[in-house]
Amino acid sequence: MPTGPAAVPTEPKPPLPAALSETAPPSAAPIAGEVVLDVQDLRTYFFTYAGVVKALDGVTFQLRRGETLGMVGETGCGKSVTAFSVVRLIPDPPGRIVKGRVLFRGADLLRGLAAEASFHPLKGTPRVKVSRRFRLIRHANERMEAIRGRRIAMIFQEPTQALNPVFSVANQVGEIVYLHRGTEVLDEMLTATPNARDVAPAVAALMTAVAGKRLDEIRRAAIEVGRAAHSSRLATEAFYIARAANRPPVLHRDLLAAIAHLRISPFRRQYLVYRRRLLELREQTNRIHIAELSGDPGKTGGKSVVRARMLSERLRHFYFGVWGVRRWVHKPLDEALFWRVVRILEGVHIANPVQVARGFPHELSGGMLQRVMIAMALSAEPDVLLADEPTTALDVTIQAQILELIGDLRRRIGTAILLITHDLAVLAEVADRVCVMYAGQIVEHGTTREIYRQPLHPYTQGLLASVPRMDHPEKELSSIPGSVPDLLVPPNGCRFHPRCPYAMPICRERRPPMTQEGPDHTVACYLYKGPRVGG
Amino acid sequence: MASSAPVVISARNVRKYFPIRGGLLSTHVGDVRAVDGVSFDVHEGETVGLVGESGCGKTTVGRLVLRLIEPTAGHTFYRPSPAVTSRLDALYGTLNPYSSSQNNGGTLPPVAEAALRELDEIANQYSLYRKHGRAMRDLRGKLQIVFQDPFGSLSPRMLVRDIIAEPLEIHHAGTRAERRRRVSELLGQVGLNPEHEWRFPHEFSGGQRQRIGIARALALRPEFIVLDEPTSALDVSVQAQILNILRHLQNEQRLSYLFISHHLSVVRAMSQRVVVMYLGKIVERSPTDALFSTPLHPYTQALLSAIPIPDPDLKRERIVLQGDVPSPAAPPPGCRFHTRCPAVMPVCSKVEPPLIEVRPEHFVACHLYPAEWTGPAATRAASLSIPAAGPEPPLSLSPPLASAAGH
Repeated sequence: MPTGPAAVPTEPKPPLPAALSETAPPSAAPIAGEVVLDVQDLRTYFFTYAGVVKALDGVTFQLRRGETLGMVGETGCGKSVTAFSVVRLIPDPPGRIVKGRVLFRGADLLRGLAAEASFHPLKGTPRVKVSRRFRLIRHANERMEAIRGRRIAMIFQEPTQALNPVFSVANQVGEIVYLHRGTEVLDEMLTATPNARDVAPAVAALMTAVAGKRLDEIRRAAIEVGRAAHSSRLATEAFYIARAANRPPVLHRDLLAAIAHLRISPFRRQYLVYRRRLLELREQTNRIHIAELSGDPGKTGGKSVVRARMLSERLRHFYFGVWGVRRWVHKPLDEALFWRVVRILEGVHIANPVQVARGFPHELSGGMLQRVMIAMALSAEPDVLLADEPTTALDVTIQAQILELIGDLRRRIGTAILLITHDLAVLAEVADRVCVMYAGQIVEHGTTREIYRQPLHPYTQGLLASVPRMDHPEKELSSIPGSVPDLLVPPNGCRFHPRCPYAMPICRERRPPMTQEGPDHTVACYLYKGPRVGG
Repeated sequence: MASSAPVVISARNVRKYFPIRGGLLSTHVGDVRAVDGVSFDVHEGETVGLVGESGCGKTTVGRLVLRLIEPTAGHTFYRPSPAVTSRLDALYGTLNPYSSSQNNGGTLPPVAEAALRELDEIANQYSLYRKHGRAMRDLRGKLQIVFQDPFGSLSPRMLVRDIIAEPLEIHHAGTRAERRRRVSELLGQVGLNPEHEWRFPHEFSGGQRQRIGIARALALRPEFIVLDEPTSALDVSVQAQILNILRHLQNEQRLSYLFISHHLSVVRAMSQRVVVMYLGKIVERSPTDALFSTPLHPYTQALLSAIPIPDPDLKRERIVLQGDVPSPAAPPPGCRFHTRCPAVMPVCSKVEPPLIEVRPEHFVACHLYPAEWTGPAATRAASLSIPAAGPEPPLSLSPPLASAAGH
């Protein structure tokens, strides 16, 4: 925690006892950052055969740079749906975001989507209209793909199920690195070459070519790099990486470029890439052979002969190399990528990163896997991290390790974190602000201190009172009667009123508005008479 | 202390090794030492908490004391008389020095041989693991279990009434009409409505299903129930409901619980005595208050300090253990915790510390506390333990009432 906040008096509320105000607010500090994620009136419905489940019904919150926002509530109140809606991973059908805006740094991730969501191509709809709508959706999807994982990353609840069991850890982390940080891998590869100084100007040229986004220029620059480094392999890799980093959207003539864009498994992609390279090699060899046969010294020359031999050697290697053992385990690129993965794993305090990188998910413990997941999520240094119950499946000692790690990385990278959990105790330790969700709505929202010291909503009070306290064990546990309502037929008015000890007649009729009860404390309950917030 | 009440369940030196088979002929290549010599007593009307990380053998212990799985060694006694208990303690005291050198292959001295023989005789008479047929089945009604996963432990094809009545039918308890009455009575006891008996488990939420599981365990009026993480799949608000029901039932029927959980704050709220396990061994065993105020074993201290406290102003020094729990197939030599211990000494990796009573009723297995050590525990543990609780926080639960009155 930064040391500044002690002096900042953010507590004008009179009922706080003086003794408590003296202790430095541990978490009320870094709220000054800009808003990176602004979710407004988000509504996600699930259209099932039994009816429409209104999983999210008007969720509004903001996430500022470098802060941790905790989201808490019982099972089935829409916490995870919120996270999945933000990155648009809601399976459709049956789920759909029907309304709302998700502004990431001011850009609406749902632009053009909410309107399309209600659209069903009916019989009389003109084709033009249909295709236009589909185009809109496609564009929104493309925008999302550029952001999801790279700018907004996610950690899932069950680390044992989030990783693919048939690929090694290095493979899976490496895929992410390759996707998001390809140029850096290239950089490292080049600095690792023995004559790095000679290569430097060629690399600079390659980078300008990458910026220029012309595929043929990139290719030429990549070949230059390879020539300078005396390594044709490097040239190939430089080209692939540069192109992958750049991803020119238009020049699809090159088959390899197309392969890189295909949504296929890494195995399949690798296979296609190798197929393609094999064809290239054969073509080149053939050309040189023909040039030699025709006796054209201008076209062949001593160099070409050497090159032809080299190529045919590689061709032979292609045919007789042991497939399935060396070919896909140690791709030329993997050498650099693998060590980068190892370094990333080191960054999340994994003691033996090399073994872990070589290993497969089933060989690792839950805590270790969650570290790998965090490494994957943070390898792109995202602006926002959505952590969906990252420690629920873990033991307390491992939970302490993971929470410490997340906090550490937040300080280092400055990522804003949305921490979803049902454990109020965890939030008290790591969150700056807390929003409490109930049945698809946010019922209370404030700084961690205020939420824990002065919970306003009866639901928040009930939640806090039902946590067994280590520091006050003698306290009798109170519980909230009943359970979360069925969202197919949610209660009218305030959704908490059937379980609320203070329910009034008005609670059954109208949904309470969000009211301002403190500088950074809002609540949706008729018990409070503060000024209304928003619409 | 609860030691005045009679002992209901007494586990002595219970072990369970799961064989690892491997190689060409799937020969026996090693053992997973899930439980490696665990001893504890549960008195009448008492809750004993059993805590530890996942994979430390908590659940296996719960199943062993009910004989749901057969042990590799050791005995569990149901309601042993004080005479038997004291004789057992004496015998194990004689045998203890030889138990660690079991692999020597040499002959035991005559004293130990005699002790073994006598132990065998006592076990033949009283041990749960030596009972057969009718005798065992009668005991099963006294010893029950509530499982962790309320979604997996109820048959989806049976009505709730059939689920709850099944133990009664197996034990031929009462007539059909009596059984039916008992089912609705049980439903009432766990806070469900009588009409719920006509429903299937999938129609219930997690908390309600756990209530059904409790009702089923209560059907035969047991004396001892193993609660195997009964609330870890539930929300906190529902967890409080279930814990309150369990407490209420205990007071009403003088039940004994073995409360297995990895959630220390829940264990503290529920139990009178706590057993802390690490890698199949008991590292600390003591009354709840003593354990939580002055934890002695470094593992317990780390475990306690890792628990998050729902209070943003209470900051404390946290001991974060590095690394994971080692594999129980190849436990570290000496003290099993030495690979992660913040206070590790050279002796720890060589000699396995015995479980000794360093303060009345407070047992710990750690080289930090030699047998003759009698110093004040608080000073020793103060450097690592959590600070004492501060003043009662003004968790204001009443303002809504005040403002509601103004309406």
